[in-house]
Order: sequence, then C-alpha cells, then structure tokens
Amino acid sequence: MNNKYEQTKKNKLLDFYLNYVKDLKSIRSRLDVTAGYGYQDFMRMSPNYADYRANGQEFAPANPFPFETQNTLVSFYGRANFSIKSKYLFTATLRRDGSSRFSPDTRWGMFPSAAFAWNISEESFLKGNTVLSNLKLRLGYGVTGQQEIGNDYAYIANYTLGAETAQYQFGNTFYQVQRPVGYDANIKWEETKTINIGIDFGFLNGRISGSIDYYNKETIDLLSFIDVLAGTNFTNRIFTNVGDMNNKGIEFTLNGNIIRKTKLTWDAGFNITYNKNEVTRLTKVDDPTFIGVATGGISGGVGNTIQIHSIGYRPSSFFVLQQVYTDQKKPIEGLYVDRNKDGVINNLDYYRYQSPEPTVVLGFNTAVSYEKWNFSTVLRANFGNYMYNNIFSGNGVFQPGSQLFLMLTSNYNQ
Amino acid sequence: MRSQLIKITGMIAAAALFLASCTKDLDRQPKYGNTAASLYVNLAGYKSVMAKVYAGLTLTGNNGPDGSGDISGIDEGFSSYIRQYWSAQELSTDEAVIGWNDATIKDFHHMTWSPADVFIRALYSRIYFQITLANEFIRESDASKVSDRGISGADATEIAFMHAEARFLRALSYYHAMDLFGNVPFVTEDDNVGAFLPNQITRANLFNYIESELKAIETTLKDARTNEYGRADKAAAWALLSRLYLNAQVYTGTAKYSECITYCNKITAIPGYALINNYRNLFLADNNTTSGSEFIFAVNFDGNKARTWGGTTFLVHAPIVGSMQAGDHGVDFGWGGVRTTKQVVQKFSGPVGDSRQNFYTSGQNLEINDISSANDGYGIIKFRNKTSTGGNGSNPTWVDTDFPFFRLAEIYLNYAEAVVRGGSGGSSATALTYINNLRQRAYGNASGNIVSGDLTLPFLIDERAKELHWEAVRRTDLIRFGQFTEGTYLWAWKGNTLNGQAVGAHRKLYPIPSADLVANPNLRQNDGY
Repeated sequence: MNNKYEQTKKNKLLDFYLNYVKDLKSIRSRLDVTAGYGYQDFMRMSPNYADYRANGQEFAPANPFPFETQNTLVSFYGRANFSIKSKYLFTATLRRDGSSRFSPDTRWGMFPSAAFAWNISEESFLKGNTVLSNLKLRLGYGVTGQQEIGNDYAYIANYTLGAETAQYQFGNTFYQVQRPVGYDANIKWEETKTINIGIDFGFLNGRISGSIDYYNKETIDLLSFIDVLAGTNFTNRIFTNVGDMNNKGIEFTLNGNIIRKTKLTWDAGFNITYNKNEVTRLTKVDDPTFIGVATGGISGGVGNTIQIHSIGYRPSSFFVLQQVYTDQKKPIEGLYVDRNKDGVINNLDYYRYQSPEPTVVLGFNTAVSYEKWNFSTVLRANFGNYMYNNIFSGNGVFQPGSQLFLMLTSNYNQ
Repeated sequence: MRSQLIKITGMIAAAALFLASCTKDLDRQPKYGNTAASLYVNLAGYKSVMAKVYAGLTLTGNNGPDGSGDISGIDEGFSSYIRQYWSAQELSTDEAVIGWNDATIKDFHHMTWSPADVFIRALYSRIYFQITLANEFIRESDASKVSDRGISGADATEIAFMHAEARFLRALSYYHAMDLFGNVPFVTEDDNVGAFLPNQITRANLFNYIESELKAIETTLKDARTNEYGRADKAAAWALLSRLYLNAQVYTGTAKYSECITYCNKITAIPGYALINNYRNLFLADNNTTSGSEFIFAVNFDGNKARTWGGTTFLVHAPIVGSMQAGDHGVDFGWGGVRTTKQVVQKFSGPVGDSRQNFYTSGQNLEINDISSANDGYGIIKFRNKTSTGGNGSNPTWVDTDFPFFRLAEIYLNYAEAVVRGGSGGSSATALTYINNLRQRAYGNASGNIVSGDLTLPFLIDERAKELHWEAVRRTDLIRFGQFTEGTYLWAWKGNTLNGQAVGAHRKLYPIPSADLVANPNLRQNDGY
C-alpha cells in the first residue's frame, strides 16, 4: 500500500494590554492594574490523496473534500494587584473567554479569581529574624475554563457529503450521500474551581526555602466523549458536558543552597506531591448498578477495552479479571478469581485495579556551578501508576500456528 | 494634558472597534458542510439525503469502507447494520458460529450475552442512528416544507414518494428494534435533535405503531415494481406486514395469521413477481440483474462505489474458512470466521439433489469441539462475489452482492405457515403449490415435491432453514416455533455446552444496552437481565 499525507497548520496569536501602576505613598501602598485582549486562531488543513496498491493500481480514490478545521479564542482580561506595606497583597483577576467551538449562547465564559497573601516575615515580630527569614501565607480561589474538545464544530447542525466510495445506488445510478452530523447545540465550557492554601518559608536568609500547598479542585460540566441517548442525535457518541470530578492533594517543596561561595554554588531541591482524584458524576441519573464508561481500546481482537471511568473510582482505572497466583507468586495462566462467587468467570467478575495516573510524584533537582561551569540534573519519580502491556497481551495469547491467521483476520476486519 | 487624554480615548475607541470585529471570528462554520437551508432546495438535495437513509442499512460511514463513521465506540466494520443484525439473528442460532476472538462475539452463540455487550450496543446504536436519520428526512420532506421551499410539480411528487419511503425505512428499523429488544425508546419526526429523554414504548404498542405506519404508506408508496431498483415500493410494506403478522402472537399475544395471508396475497397478485430459476444466483455479485423478479426489497452494495467492511463484504469474506479458496468466492482473502452446526447439516437428510445444500466439508469437522477452530463445523457457501456467468465482482476486496431483506420465497413460506396455523383467506392447495415451487426450483425437477400430508409446522421450520438460512430471519423463526431458548431443540454450544441446553426464556429478547439505560431514566431493562 502506498499513500501520502500532508498537513498544514496556521496559528495566529495577538496579545494587547494596557498596564497602569501607581504608588500611593501616603498609605504605603501600590496599585497595579492591567487590562488586556487576546486573540488566538488555530487552523489545520490536510489535502487528500488516493491510496495505491504496491503494483501502482489505485486502491481507494482521494476523498473529494480536504480536511480543514479552524477554531478561534478571544479573551478580555483584567488584573488588579494591591499591596499594603509589602505585607498584605491582594490580587483579583477576571477573564472573559470566547471560543468558536461553542454557540453564541454558550461561547463566553467568565472566570474570576481572587488571592490574598500575607507576608508574615514583614511583621515586626519576625522582621530581622535570621533563622526564620521568610514566612508567607497564601489563600486563593479561582475558576478556570476548558474548551479543548477536539471537534471545532460540535454545536453546529450541518450535513457532510460522502465520498465516491460511499454512495448509494438507485436503479443504475449512484448517488453521493449527505449525512446530518451529530451535534450538541448546548455544549459549553468545562469549569474547574480551585481552592488552595499554601505557606512559603525560608530559613537562614533563604538558604533553605520551601512551601507546602493544599489544593482542592472541583471540576463541573466535564467535557467528555460519551454515549448519547438512543434516538436523540445523528450519532451514538458525542462531546458534551457530563460528569464531575474531584482532585485534591498536597504539594511539598524544599530547596537548599548547600554551598554559596562566590566561585562555587551548589543548590538542591526536592518536591513531593500526593494527589487523589475521583469521578463524582458521570451520567444524568445516579445508578449504582452502572459499571461505568469503558475506555482504553486495546489490540488483540475488536471492541476490547482495558480501562473504565466509574463513579467513586479514579478515572481510567484498569478493569480486569483478578489473576490467581501460585504460592511462589507466579501467575497461573488462564486462571482468574471468581469474585462474585457465581461459579463462572465472566464479565461480572471484572474489578477496578489501579490506574495509570500516579498518586505520588517525587522530584529532585540539583545544580553545581563553579566559575563558568554548570552541572545540573533533574530526577523524577511517579508512584502508584500502572501500565498495561498490550504488546505482550495482544500477541502472547495466540496459540502457535494460529497467530498469523488471527493477525490477518484482525487486519481485515477493520 | 487634555490633548493627551483625547489621544488615549481615541486609541481605546479604535482598539474597541478592532476588538469587536475580531469577536465575529468566533462564528466559525465548517468549510465543507451544508445546512438544511442550503441542501433542501431541489430534488437532487433531497435525494442525496434519501440516499444516506438507505445507505444507513448498507454502509458504515461517509468515506467507504472506513473513516468518518456514522457511529463510534466500536470498530467501524462491526458497526454495519446488516453485519450486526445478521450476527444477532444468526450467530445466536443453529445456523452460524463465529471463531473470532473479538470481545464478547462468542456470547451470541453461547447465549451468554450481557447488557454491557459491545456488539448488542452497536446494533442498538445503529438501529437508532437509522431511525433518527429517517426522522430527519421525514421532517424535512413534509409536504408543507417542500412547498415553502418553492418545490412543486413532478419534483414535489417524487419527494412525497421518498417521504413515504423514509417512513417505510423507519418502520423497518422499528420492526427490528421491536423484534430484537422488545420495549424500546420511541422517537418520531416530532422529536427534534437535542437533549431530551425519549419515552419507552411497550412491544405491543410499538407493534400497533408499525402496523399503522405501514398501512398509512401502503397507499402513498409507489406501486409494486414501479420504483427504481433499490428503493421501497408498496410490496416492501406488504412484505414487512406479512412478517409482522406472522409473528404477531410473539409480539402481542394475539395471532394475526389471516392478516398475514392477506398481505402475502397482495404480493402474489402482482404480475412480475416470480421465483428465479437458479437458487444460488440469488446471492451472487450480479443479483441486482438476475434476481429482480424475486427480490421485494433488497439493499445495494458495490465493490467500488459502495464500500464497507460490513454488509455482504462481511457475508462473503467471513465464512471463507479452512481450505476454502477465496478466489472461488470472487474475493482476495478469507476472514476465517463463520461455520454452521451439525444440526443444520442434518436438515438436508431428505432426497438428494437440493441445490440449497451447499456445505464445504473438505478438511472440516462436522462436530464443533472448539468454536475458535476454523475447521470445526462445516462451511456454508452462499453469499459470493462471483457473477452468475462465472466472472468476478467489480472489486476483489469489497463485494457487489446485494442483500435481500424480503424476497418472494419468504412470502410463500409465510403464506404456507399462516395457512397451517389456521389463518383464513388462503388455501392448503395454494400453500402446497408454493412450497413445491420452492422445492422444484431447489431440485431442478419434481423429485423433491411433497404431498399435502407433509405440510406440517415441523416440516415448515426446517424448510425455512433450508431456503432462508443466513438471511437473518432464523432467530425470529425459532422463537415463533418455541425452539430458541427452550429445550425442545438443541444445537451445538447452545447455552454454552457442547450438546446444547435450554437457556432462560428472557433471552428471547436482547437486553437494552446498559449505556442507554443509565443515560435515560425513562427506560426499564427487559425482564431477566
């Protein structure tokens, strides 16, 4: 098979803002106000080419319509910072974002945020303290929006013309077809509300510094590709707002200047994040018997998936049969646990086992500089995330002799 | 100071104007799309959407054979209407087993399917895609809308015929939904696209709806045999009514055998309907030209212009197993999947010479010890991409063969069975003639003819298997005869045991897929699941 592919991408970006700063000396305060406008445009185009067999014969003609898709984002934003005596810092922002992916009724999202910081180390009782040289408390609340749905026209009712290889014959004439496209006229921004509380600290004039943060993110109107109700749309799955999700966690960072000389410095940093996430709503109705939305298609047969989004569990949890192991911890091939104890191993025995997302992330970085030489390294570690070896599972179960045949089959069932 | 203020104000005003014009860029429209307003301006526009409604039965997407699929969540080839309908109607019975490793596909034959089954869900999604598509066309081809759009005369008349055809196609899909799932979501052209919760209709009420729709369009469809090949006419509606009434006892609890006979008679009264001479030609690449006198409603495939990995491409490739030569079937590869059980083979133990008997036995075992083994179970040679003159179809990968949803032979069998079951308006003598017409065609002479005493229900269910096997009616037939879930008739691997066993009576209906059940609180699962 011989085929050709080409893609052109055009991205445009414009950012325009006005900034105003005023020192209010009488009350030892400072005001910093910004108002701005942003314009972003993303366009992708792919012309179509015919596919050819190895012998040069045409296998499939080119689709008459090239692929072209475009979306635009417009933002108006404002930000105000107000600080009093360098001790009390207030920040408020407001964005209004418009996305061409949503209808005129739903395309504008309003995203406010507010934050307060208290520089405790500027207070008289800590000022000049060389042991605890920096201490800052931060509180924040904010709403952010998400519009990345992959489909640029998900709200528009329209028809698309079929290719010449997808016609229908009436009498002796073939007709190209017009298909109405599935759409959700009410699709809108996904919103995430975040609350965070953090403390920054520094000891010994900043030679040791770090922070602790707690965050709680509540995502509503999660944009997801889900099943539509039978009979209500020109497709069976659509991008729409469904489901809620919760993420909470704690982050801890610690940085140190181990050596701080004029010629030689050595810094090291460490951070650890613990995150817990859970799907809290997936469907319009609460149904405790609903096992979830299957996801994570795998090879080795058609229609097989390995993961699932379920309420009360981590997103994309693996959904598998429970392996039976020998006393020596070796898996017994083809033997699984009958989890519901009904005497048969079937789809009711699947369970949610781990997720590809880590629960704990560790990071370590260090840098040494001597005169003009720099040495640095970054180490990262994830814990609690699992992977599924589909290369092994896809080929490993075939019996000798039938492997080639089955692979041919799956290639030709497409 | 003042002039500076004016300058700043001016700059802000200019910026605001510029910004306002930029927000218009948010009205992005797909570049290669059509809206209803730009499409339904003439007959050609209507016909292109009508073509899609018909193609909903045959193709899987807008690219052919794959890409831009109509429904997702499943491999596009598996999303084919006919492929999934066929699987639900045939793989669940004695007539077919499939050896593949694809998800739960063996659950059909084992009768162990669950509401989460991906194939059942694909079938359900496909049926409702088709119904929604038909609803859209019915809405847009309403007579008042057509005249508002300035279309009149012969074009408007033709659109009115297509309007009736879309109602036929919707009735056909609702018939499938009623037969397979029983109590299902109900949407008509009055329900616009969007977020609403369709109500569930009972099987008996859906029966009444389908009946009333077919009776309404019985007068507005084109006369039998006057429409273009591939489009539905009055006889298509009659044939569906005949099948609907034959199974009325199952669907509503009330038998309607006399009504079945009435609608069989309407078809047999039309001059021009006749059995073709050669049974095997009905399922070949040029069946559109050889079988027109017998096909009442067939849907069209073409290896170059109407490509799919489902439909008859599946029906030709998938049954090529073991040492069968793909070239003998007019294609490049076999997919090594479908065989039949011993119980079907044994039905042909009567007089030899029945041309409907076409098993592939070389290297195949009659017994199925392992469904996954392509050599267990005889192959069946039926749908092929060869022409009646021995040539090949237009393409070695995708198949030309058309799929008959209704053909005259079924009407003969429906008539005979309705008479035997006590319906009025027909006669035993005519029933016998019809059956012997089928047998003479099969044997080439009168050697296989039966006498009136042979015309019994046990004879008829077997005769239907011989004549109509692999034409997606088997499950419905076995249910009507009380043999699908019961222990009265067992076949290899029925109920997931080698020699077969009875299964729960709830399996006469497929479950409503759990995905839809959860999304729509108006739906209740079928009993037993």
